[in-house]
Amino acid sequence: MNKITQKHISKNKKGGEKILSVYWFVILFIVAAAIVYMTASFYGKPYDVRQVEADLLTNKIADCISEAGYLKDEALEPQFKDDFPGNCGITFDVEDSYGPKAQEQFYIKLTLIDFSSKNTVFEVEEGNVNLVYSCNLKGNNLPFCLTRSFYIIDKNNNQYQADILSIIRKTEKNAQ
Amino acid sequence: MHNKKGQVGETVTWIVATVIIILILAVTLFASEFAFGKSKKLDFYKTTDTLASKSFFSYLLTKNPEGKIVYEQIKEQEDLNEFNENLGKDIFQKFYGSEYAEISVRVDATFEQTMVEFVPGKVLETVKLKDNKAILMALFK
Repeated sequence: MNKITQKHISKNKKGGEKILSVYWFVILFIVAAAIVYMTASFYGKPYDVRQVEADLLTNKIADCISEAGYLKDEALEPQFKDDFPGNCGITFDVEDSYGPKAQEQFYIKLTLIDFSSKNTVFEVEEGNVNLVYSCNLKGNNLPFCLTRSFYIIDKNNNQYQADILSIIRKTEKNAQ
Repeated sequence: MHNKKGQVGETVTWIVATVIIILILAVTLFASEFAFGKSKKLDFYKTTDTLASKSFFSYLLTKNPEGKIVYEQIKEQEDLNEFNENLGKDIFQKFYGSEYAEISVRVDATFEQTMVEFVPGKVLETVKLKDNKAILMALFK
């Protein structure tokens, strides 16, 4: 009787271990799958750097038209308007991966408004104008729009409000 | 009979363990999806604001109706007068009121030297007047 019991115990133990091995493999796969999913969800989404990019673009334009608190004289001249990005040292070159759409990733607009009368004194824009229409839309995969203003005076104490609109598309690399 | 009891006990233990493991995984999966599922925006607190600083310097250079610039007036009277205060409100509240929770332009009587502070969400700009006084622009997120 005692011998039979020992035999049974041995057989049962082996069966139990086999079931546990399968169970452990299942758990291992579940844990591995979860880790893969979490890693993919973290690293799979790109960093959206367009806010920083738009900020830099805005600052560059502001630096371009102002110096030591005053509006640069050349900013109001027609030549400045003719090659606005070139005069400000801005290029719209982007990665080759954008192909023929390379030039369509940016839009910048500078508006100089009289501080008292609110009349527009000067306006210049460059880039893909179609991006402007997406600024008031809500949803994913839309271009990033940044509108900021600053106060500036010229040497004759004329006061202005400078509005800068910077739009960055680049949705493929930033907003998947 | 004894063996069966042992097996049942072990099975129950592992069933409970499986439930706990799956629950922990579900929570971490949900948390990771909630935290990182969206596009990762690089949204950081600035310690400098180029446009606000430019506005501040232009503000100090603006002449009042008597032809005196704001900086000179504040340096003499060590306080803002009505013209300067209204102009300051017109500029800073209007342009930066939606971006910052608190905006102040005032005379700081405890100024020693220009300090670069790395306080998240705090933008400071100072221009020395005289002695320990400075005109200070402070923007808080």
